[in-house]
Amino acid sequence: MNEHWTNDPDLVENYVLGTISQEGRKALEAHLGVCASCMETVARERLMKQGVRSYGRRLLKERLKTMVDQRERRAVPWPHVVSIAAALLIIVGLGLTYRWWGEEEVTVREEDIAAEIPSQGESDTAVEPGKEGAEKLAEESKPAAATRSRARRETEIAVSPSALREVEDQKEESPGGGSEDFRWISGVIVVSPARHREDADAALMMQGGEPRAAAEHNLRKREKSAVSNEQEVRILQRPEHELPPGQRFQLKRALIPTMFRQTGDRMELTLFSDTLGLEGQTVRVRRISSDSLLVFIDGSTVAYKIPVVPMPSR
Amino acid sequence: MALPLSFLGKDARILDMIRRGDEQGLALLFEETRRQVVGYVLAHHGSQEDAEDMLQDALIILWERVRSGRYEYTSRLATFLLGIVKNRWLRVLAGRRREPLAPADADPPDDAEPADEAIVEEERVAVVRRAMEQMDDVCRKVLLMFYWEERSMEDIAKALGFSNAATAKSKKYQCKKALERLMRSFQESEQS
Repeated sequence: MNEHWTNDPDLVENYVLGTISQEGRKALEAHLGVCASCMETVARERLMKQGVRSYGRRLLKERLKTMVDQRERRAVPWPHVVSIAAALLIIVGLGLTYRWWGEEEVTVREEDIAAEIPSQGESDTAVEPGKEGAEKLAEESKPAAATRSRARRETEIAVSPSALREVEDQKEESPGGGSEDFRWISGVIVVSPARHREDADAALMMQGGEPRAAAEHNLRKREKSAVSNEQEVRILQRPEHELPPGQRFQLKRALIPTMFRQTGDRMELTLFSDTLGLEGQTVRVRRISSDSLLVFIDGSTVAYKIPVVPMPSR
Repeated sequence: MALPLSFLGKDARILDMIRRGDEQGLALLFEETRRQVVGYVLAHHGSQEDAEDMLQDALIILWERVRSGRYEYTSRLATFLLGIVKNRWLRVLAGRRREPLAPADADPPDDAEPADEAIVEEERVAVVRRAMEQMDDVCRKVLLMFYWEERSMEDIAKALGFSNAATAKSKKYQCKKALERLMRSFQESEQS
């Protein structure tokens, strides 16, 4: 071996990097003990190795910090995203359920229909003779206990044309199994119109005779002016469970899903309801405008809007 | 044929990234183990900053071992890193116990006292770092690959586009001489 092995730079590097065998290392170290300049050469090489490594580590540490910061900035805040997504899902779900979007709804205000109801007293198709005017109206408008709570939730009667169009695409869903032309319409149980009159009466009685007389005059005038436009209608009732799945949304919205068929002048309404009792009941139908009608089923009044198919006039 | 990475575990994927020199593997591992390490250091009188600093050092140790082929997978990477952090943090705590903070009214240290060897050594290392910063890019890479990553001259030649290992070795020699010159000039300027 060379007396000054440190003259060989490869050997010095291998010694400092620890890539030589244990035996070789011991031999080299024995020489270092007696050669100060060799010791200095090794120390310089070792310093270079330490310095370069330290430099590399610092650089890597800085890059690592930068990478972590960048990843954190880019990281998706999943808890927030999940919360927002859940909120959106709920909103969209509610929107779809309650049809916040889509076609403009055709609305008939309850009071408009209620205003028409007094004219029932003059109906020439009334099946219960002997009862007249307000008395008959009061009886007609008594809501059935089961339907009252549902009806009270409705402050406006709203029938969406989309429901009709939706059903046009589902003719195969005809519960009767026939291929007749039919449409689905939605009926709304009218909140006791009698209540309005009772309230009005009470108010008038408190105010004295003159206003009451004026109100009665108005009522009579309205009853006379109401168009007597009775329609020949066949009314049927089917249980709710026979309702095609595509129409069950109406039940959820507290509507009375009704299948509407028309043949010539004749009209047929099949009401799907477990609460309305059509069996053996007196039923009257009144057209209150070109596209709206009321069905009086004993204690309940169901309002319909049929905007697509105008009612035939007699 | 190499298996697709999707068939390997997360540790294997990170190790593969490190072997390929992809530093994002370290960032991934940092995120994976940070909570554990911070929990440990906070529970042992340290701060969040201490914990992250310790974890970064541990990751660099892992990087060096993997890159130089001295790493052997005997436990999960998170366990390996936490082991390093624990050892180093305990040493830090032991150091703090041995060197309690001097009281505010204590005498200033005597200039005649022998300088701490570690401080002198650190100053020398700092000079090399400064010199490295002044080196050209190729020399910096050659020296880093040789001394830090302990790559063979063949590897360095391939990575840096030298025609062969002998050319790379020649370049390394030139770079070392340039570094020594810079070191000397820094030392001389400090002494003057």
